[in-house]
Amino acid sequence: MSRPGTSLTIAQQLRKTTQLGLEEAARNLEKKHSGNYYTAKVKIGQKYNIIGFISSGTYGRVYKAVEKNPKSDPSSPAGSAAPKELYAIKKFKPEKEGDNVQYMGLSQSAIREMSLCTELSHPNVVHLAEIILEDKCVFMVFEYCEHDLLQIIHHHTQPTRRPIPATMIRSILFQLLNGLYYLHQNWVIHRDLKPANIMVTSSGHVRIGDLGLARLFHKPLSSLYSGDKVVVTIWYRSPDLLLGARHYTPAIDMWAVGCIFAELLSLRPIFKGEETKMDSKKTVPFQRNQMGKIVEILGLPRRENWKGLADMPDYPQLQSLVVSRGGMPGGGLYPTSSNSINRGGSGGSANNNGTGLENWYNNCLRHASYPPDKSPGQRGFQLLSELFEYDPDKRLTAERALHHDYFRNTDDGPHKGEIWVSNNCFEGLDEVYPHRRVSTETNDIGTSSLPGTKRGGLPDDSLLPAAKRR
Amino acid sequence: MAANYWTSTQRKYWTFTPEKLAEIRDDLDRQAAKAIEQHPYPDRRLMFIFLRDRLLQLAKRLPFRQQCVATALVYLHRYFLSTPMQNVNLYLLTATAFYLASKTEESPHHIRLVAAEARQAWPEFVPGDVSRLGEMEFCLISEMHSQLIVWHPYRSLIALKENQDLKLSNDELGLAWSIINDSYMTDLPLTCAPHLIAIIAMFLAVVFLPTAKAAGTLRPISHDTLANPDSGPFSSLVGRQALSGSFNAVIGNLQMSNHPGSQTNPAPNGKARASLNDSSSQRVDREKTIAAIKESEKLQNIMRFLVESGIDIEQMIESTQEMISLYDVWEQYSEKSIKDTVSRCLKSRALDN
Repeated sequence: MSRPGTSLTIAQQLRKTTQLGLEEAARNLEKKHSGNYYTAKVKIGQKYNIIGFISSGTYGRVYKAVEKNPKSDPSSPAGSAAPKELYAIKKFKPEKEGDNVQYMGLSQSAIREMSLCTELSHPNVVHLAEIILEDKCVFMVFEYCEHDLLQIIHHHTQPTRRPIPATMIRSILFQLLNGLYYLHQNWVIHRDLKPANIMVTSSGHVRIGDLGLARLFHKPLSSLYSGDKVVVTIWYRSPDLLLGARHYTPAIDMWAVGCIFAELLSLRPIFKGEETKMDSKKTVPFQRNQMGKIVEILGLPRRENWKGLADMPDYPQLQSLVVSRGGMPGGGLYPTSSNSINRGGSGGSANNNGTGLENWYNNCLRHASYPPDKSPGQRGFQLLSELFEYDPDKRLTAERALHHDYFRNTDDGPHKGEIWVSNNCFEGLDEVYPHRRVSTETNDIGTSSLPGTKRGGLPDDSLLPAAKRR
Repeated sequence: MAANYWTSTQRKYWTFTPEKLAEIRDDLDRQAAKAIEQHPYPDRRLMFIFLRDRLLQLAKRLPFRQQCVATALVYLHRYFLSTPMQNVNLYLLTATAFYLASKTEESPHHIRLVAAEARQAWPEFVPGDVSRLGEMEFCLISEMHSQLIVWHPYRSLIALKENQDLKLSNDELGLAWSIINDSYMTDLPLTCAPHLIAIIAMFLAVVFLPTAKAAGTLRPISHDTLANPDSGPFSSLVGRQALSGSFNAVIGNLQMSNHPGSQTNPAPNGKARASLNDSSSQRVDREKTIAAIKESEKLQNIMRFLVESGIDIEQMIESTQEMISLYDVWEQYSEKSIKDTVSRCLKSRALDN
């Protein structure tokens, strides 16, 4: 736990408006018969001690907290109690910040996350402890997860690049798919999968987090597109979305899983495109650069392999991409995410489907120099290429992915040949991952949310310098 | 959860036996005895007809979906389990339920728009301050423990439409849809699984159709409405007053199918028994309907479906009875009298600002 001196100031910051709560209580006393006014039944400050600040985004801020012992006995010696549970408390910021906070109606994102998290329950989906409504704010109290994939990937690049062990990648991926299968089975599309949103507990359990963009897709009454024009952070956005799909499917999450798999292998985003900003007319631009990054490795999507391709709203834009890339054999126009990959000749040319990914993959394994018996191997490539299927209808589903040969146990023993993956991604590993950075500097909390953090594909936390992310 | 009603919070926390529901309400009424005594409100079902009409009034100029109104009504049902109707500004609450439901049903309206619409509709009772609606949203969410996802019978009805054994006609589906809409005026959303309500609605619709046709009260249903029923108006069953007789006959028949060879009345609550004890003209109606049921292949198929589907026939009878009694009570509905009663209560209890 952190020093009490600084954490106190944070708690004070967080509860700055609780004084207002007193006025509110007085007002409620006055109107004690009235169901028109809100009084919090449970207060954050009564149940939790805020230890520090974890991160911020458009939605608000996340704090690390520890449960106060409800039956704490002041006479008992300090430290004798059982270890207290840790929590991550997500505070949805009110629309306007400042001293005069008003009830402005909760955001759609808060409503989604609240309503979905209260229904969902799965070992690989983030666990919600409770929701507290207080001081005109929503506090979602989650189980604390010590790590996330972004942080784990980053750790493997410092101070030098060391590949993430193949068994760990396999366990992470399996758990991720398992959680995703549960979500999809329950008609929930996550719509914002990326390393920063995949949590890992200190015991190696993977939890899918941040359901603020997630929504139900069972018989939607309006097309999903009409609700949120832009979903999924650009690097993880699937080609169907990039080409303007309106009625998209869970397959968009599967593409993101492919991107995450690739990033775990290479420690870099595989399709690191530059986002084209929305113009002043708020029309959604074609993400030419991002699409280009994908085409560079996977080749162009072809109508014979993707039945609905020509019907995609932005198909003409793809045509223009072909024209602009014409006469550039080998796709030399864009350097790949790993410049050392030699893509000349053997594949990866703009019109050559598929071979580019195999090159990318083999280069990736070569750089990682996995021992032959501990390598993701050809099955890993098979899985990756099935996740990077252009046609969303043909793309691997979470259910099928869980049965992929990649997850088949090859070790001698009772489970040889079975789909057998540890639910502890750290199992058998010595690597010690750093704990989540928790800031106790008050000015971290005092500042309003970081710039340019509008949700839904616009630049988000992951684009900020690493130090600010966590 | 979302795909599985059986693990939903609705089933776990918001479905009660009629006895448990009565117990919760008795406790609440005791706590607010004084206010209730001073401002007695009419039958809950009549109050819900009133509230539904307020929602529809609000929805007149804001595009909405039937499911959004249905969700808002369920929110109100849940809210009144912890707050007596006399303790809250019903107009503000209705507007808030509509606003919140529009968000959970993914067709959100801006808070300012809903507040402006409510203010225009009920200037006496809705404060101009948008934040009051926002505060009421907190009350609503908190009382519902953030459990905002609601399961509706509409989806089950669509599944029944696909069932080839049942061969439901468009007229029957339209009637069933209206009956589902009406079920939100009763306690059924708090006591029944959504698929049970859909089955009840289908059953009543099939029994109803000949009478509705004969009485000329059948509203023609456009093809559009059936293709996308959710975008249509939140319509109610028309000509309901004429149908009580055949309804009761249906109940008798259901009971027979539940207890083959027995004519005794197994309905456990007095209410059902009382309304079965009907007049002689109704008895003639009933006999006619029973004869019709025996002749009708469709009804035979439905009976078989009911038995095979393994639903709780006892609960279905009780709940069907509850639907029928709604249509009886409906005859007493007077919007003006409720409006006046509510207005007096809000003013004297200073809830109107």
